[in-house]
Amino acid sequence: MLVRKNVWELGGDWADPILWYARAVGALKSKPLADRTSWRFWAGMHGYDQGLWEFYGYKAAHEKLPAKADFDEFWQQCQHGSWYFLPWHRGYLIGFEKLIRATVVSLKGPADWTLPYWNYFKTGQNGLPPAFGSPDWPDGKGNNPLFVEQRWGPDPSKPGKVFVPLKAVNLDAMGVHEFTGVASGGDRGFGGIDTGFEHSGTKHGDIESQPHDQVHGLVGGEKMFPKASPRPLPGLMSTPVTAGLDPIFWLHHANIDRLWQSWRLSDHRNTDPEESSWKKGPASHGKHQFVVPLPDGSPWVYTPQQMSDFAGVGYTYSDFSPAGARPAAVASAAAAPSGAATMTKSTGAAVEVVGASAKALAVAGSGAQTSVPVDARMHAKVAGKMATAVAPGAREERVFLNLENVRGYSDATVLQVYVHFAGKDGAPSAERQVGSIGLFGITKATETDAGHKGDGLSYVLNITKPYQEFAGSANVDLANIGVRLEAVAPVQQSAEVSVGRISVVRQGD
Amino acid sequence: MTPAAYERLQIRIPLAIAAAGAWVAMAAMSHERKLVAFCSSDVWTALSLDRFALAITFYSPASLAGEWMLMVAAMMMPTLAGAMGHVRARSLPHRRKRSLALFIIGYGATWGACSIPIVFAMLALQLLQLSPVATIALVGSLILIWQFSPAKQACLNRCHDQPPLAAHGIAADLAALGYGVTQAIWCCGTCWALMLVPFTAQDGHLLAMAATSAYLIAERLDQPRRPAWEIRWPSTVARLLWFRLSVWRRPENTGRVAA
Ligand SMILES: [Cu+2]
Repeated sequence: MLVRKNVWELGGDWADPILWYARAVGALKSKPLADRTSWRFWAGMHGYDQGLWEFYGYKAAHEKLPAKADFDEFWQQCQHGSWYFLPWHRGYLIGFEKLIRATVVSLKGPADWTLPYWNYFKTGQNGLPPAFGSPDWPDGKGNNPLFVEQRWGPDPSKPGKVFVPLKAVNLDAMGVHEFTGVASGGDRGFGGIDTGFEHSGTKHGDIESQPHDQVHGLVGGEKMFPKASPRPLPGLMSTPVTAGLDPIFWLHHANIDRLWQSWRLSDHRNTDPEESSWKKGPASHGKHQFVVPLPDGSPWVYTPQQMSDFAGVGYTYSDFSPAGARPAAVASAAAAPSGAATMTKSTGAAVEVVGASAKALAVAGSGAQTSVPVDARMHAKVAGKMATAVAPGAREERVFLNLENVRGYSDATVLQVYVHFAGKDGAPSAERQVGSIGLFGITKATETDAGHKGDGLSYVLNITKPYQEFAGSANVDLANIGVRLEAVAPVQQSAEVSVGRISVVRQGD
Repeated sequence: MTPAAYERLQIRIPLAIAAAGAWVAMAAMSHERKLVAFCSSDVWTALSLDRFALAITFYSPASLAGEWMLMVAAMMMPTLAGAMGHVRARSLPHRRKRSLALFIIGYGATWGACSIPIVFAMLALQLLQLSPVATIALVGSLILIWQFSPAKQACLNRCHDQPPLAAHGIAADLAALGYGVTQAIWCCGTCWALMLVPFTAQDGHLLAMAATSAYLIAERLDQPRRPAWEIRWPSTVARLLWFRLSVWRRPENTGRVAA
């Protein structure tokens, strides 16, 4: 069985699997763009932007793109903002791993090469693995294919110092027990929303919006190129249109893929969708089928159903504990259901607005804050439900903060989100962090393919805990809930980042 | 059923019932419907003010307007699920009905206003006194030019807009109303040319309307794309049909990943 291993635990910065990865990446980078087995062809399958590719030197102005048939069949397929996010990326990784392995073998390397994963959650492992951060090969020669110049990291004052600030990411999605959720402001589910015939992309599912999106932006970062653009330009990892060009992309996605299986193993309620529209993929809605080239160039068509059968995908991971702790907390899939009553499925749950801000909020510099007026009747309803125990079989009362119609031109931006309860009559105010949002994909969502103003991206954060903490309190003002957004890196004014509306939404019976 | 699919049904079922009602009403009235007759009647074969006055008294404007709105309801309701789902989701629960009603009012009023240029265009066509072949050629090329134009695509793209909507007070009412108006503007821009089809079809009018309606729904299934002069047809539907047929033809692909 092929085992994907932790990149930090391979036995050295340049352990064999990394060295072979670097050699193979080097070999693929030298192939022509239009070759189905070239490095850049594979990046283009995720996304493509002529301006950025040419500016960063990944495409010469005269260089030919893949022929139209190949372009239409393979390129720009990446699935974001729908329940196909996980299965599409799993197949994409499988195809990529096969290509790298075939290349490694052709270079006389091991036939059991596997793609390592980068588990930034594990203690001491949130830094970029060193082999990716050095322009040199281990022998000191300077054209290491794993190194990428346009990988600036989370702090613009220290470009190139790449790590994942742990305060900006979390594993809250692992505690969500449904794969798919609602589009109307409640929980979107671990894997994302069933978008049906509607166009997807603006509402990322739970694991996609945390930690997937943040890691992209924190690793890629952004940089000002005053001669090229008044706006900051994204690092390769920061936007879907260049992310696949960075060799670290694949290790990040291997970790997300690992977390999918960790999630399934950790609780008997955590199962993939049974709906045939998920199993058969977007092709069942008349949309593009999932297809990637095999190492010989022939197309391999796959479905979410195949990707969901983990025993059949041909690889496993060395460790399934989400944060890389000793696996005590991870129960086997075969274990008896835990004592907790099975939660009612959220199909048919009430999802209702409790309050919403009136004006758009511009975000620049270190962040922004506003307050959300709460409807008194709705607050009373939520507080009443929270004050009484959940009846068996009933849904628990949950509250979500929605950041809707977030627009702008800074895909690397990550905003820490806090809710704030103002003290009354001299009582102290209280503030709680409720997670963060990463604007991965924001530029495209702002200025859509269609060339007109898009609606941007929308985010949902679970604020049940702080809401419950203060719902019955007489010492805080509950007519308004403060919301503070704190930028991990300063947001450029020219990036025009704004939140169209902030709302509080309840989900329950 | 998935939670999101269930939510969509909360909008789609009432819309489907309302649309079905409108279709039934149109079918029931088809023998006494005057709008089509008005537009294609031979009172226009000879231009005279007397005859125009006669026509106006014969076809009451109120009943013409009623028929127009019925037609809009029948054809447009099935396309409104996304926008109305957005209004519902973004409104405080006790304001949902009111916001949806305001959306419909804004939407309907704008379509009502759109009827004036469309009806006048039909009249102008009648006044030209062309042969049926020439009429079809003229209307057909007008439709094709619009369908393949960047302006049409720009309108179609905007039919999918889901902007922020205020939730409290008068601002919420204005937001719902305003969203209805803007949706109707983009919708008129998307649909006006194809809506000429049923008007020119004198026989089988209802059938032509149904076909047009289906086409308008199919158009909306395609991803938004950059507006340009290009030949377009609803390709998502074509792929969907092809997929359904091929699943039916060959056994399901449930095989494992080839090593
Ligand atoms: Cu990604």
